[in-house]
Amino acid sequence: MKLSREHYIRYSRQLILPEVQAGGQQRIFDARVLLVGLGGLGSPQALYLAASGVGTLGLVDGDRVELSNLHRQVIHSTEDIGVSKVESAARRIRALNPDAHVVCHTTRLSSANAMEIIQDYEIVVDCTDNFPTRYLLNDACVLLGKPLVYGAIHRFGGQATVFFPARGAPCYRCLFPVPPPPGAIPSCAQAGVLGIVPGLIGMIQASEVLKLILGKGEPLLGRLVLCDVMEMSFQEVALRKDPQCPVCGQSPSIRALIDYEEFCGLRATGEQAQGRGFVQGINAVELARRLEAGQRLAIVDVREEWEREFYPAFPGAVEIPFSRIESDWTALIPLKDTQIVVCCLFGVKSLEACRLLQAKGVEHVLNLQGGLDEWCLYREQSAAEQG
Amino acid sequence: MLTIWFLSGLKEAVGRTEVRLDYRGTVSGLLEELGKSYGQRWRERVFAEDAPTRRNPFVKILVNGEDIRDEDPELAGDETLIFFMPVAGG
Repeated sequence: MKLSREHYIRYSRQLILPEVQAGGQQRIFDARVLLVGLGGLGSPQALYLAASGVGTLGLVDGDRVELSNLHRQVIHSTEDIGVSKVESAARRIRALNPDAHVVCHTTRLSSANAMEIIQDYEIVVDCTDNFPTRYLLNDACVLLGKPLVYGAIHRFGGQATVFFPARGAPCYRCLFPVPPPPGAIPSCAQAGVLGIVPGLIGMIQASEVLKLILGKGEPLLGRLVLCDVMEMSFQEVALRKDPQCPVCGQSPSIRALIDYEEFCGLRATGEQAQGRGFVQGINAVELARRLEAGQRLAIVDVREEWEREFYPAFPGAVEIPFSRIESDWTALIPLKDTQIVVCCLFGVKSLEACRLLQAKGVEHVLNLQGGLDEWCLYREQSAAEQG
Repeated sequence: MLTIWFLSGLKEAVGRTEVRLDYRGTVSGLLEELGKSYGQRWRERVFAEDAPTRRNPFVKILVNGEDIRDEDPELAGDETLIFFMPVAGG
C-alpha cells in the first residue's frame, strides 16, 4: 500500500518525527505482526498497533469474551460477551483503522498449528496467559528465527523483553529454563490483576514492536524490564544467552515442537499418573453428566468465606476453606471410600487441595477444572439452550 | 548493607519491594535468614516443596545484575540483589 493524501493526514503527528517520516510509515504499513492472545496484553496492543498503521495484524485466540475480562481487556465491549475474542477485536480494529488488514486465527495456539501460523509474520507478540503456551511460542519463534516480544503480568506489575536468538539475544528458556510446577504461580484469575497493568506492560511491548519495525531506538534485547505500579518502580536486568539452552544454545536438543502441557507438568506421563502428586480432573460437562446419572459424589468446596458470595454453593457440599484444610480435612474421613469432587472459584486452589488430601490418604479425589466459575457458566449456557 | 529488590511474584511474600539488610555470607544463608523474617510465605515460594533447603530452580536471583543460576556465591555485604519469579498472566 502506498501512502495517500489521507494517510498523510491520519499519521501526520507520527510522520513528522524524524525517526519515522514517510519511509518509516511505509515500513509500518508493510509490517506483519502476530498477536497471540487477545486478553489483557493483546487488547491495548491491537488497538494501538492498528491505530499506528501496522499493515497486517494476525490475531490468535480460541476464547470468547466474558464479563470478567472487561476491566482490562479494553478492545472488547459489554455487547461482545459470548463473542469470539478474535472476532470482537477484528471488528473494533476495522472500525478504528480500515487500512489494517486483520487475519483471524480463531483457535488456541498448539504444537500442531504454531509453525504454520507464525511463519507468515515478521514479529510475534506473546500476550498469552499460561506457561505451556509461552514455552511453545518461544520454541516456535526460535525455530523460525522470529523475534518474540514478551510481556507477562501479575497483580500490580509485570515483565517485558524481546527474545531474539537470531540476533544474539537470549530466548525465554535462557531466562526460565525450568517451568514452575502447576499451581506454584497463581494466575490472574487466582491472584488478581489491577486493570491498568496489562495496559502498561502491553504498551512496553507495542513500543518494542514499532522499534523493531522502524529499526530505530534501543530494543529490549537482552534486557528485562520488571515493574511494580504500586511503588512505580522500574528495574532493568541484563539477560544473557545460555550456551546450554536446549533450543537456542550451541547444541540444541529441541529441534521440533514438543508436548508443552507435559513439559509444564500439566499432563502426567504414564509414570507420574501412577505416582503421588498427580490429580485427575473433571470438567463441568462430565460432572453434570455424573450428577444426572445419579452417581454418588461428595462435593468439597474449598473457597474462603469471602469468596462464597460470587457463586452459589452446591447443595449439600462440605465446606472446608483452603486455609483450614490442613486441620479440617479430617471431616472427610467418613467419606474416604466415596468419590470426592473438590471445587473452588477457578480450579486452582482446589487442585492444590486435592494434592493435600491425597497426601493425607484421601485418594478418590477429582479436581473440578475451571472451578465454580466454569460450572456456573456451563449451567447458564445449558439452561439457555434448553430454552 | 545489601539492597534487595523483591519483584514479580515475590513482593507479596515480603510485603514490599525494596529491603536493606546487614548480611555477609552465602546466598543460601541469606535465603534462610529471610525465611526467619518472612516465614512460611517466603519459604513456600523459594524452597522446593519436597526438599525445604533446596532452592526452587525457577526463582531468579541476580547479584549485581548477574544471574547466579545454580551457584551459591559469597556476599561481601554491599551488593544489590534482585529476586523474581516467572509470571504468566496476560
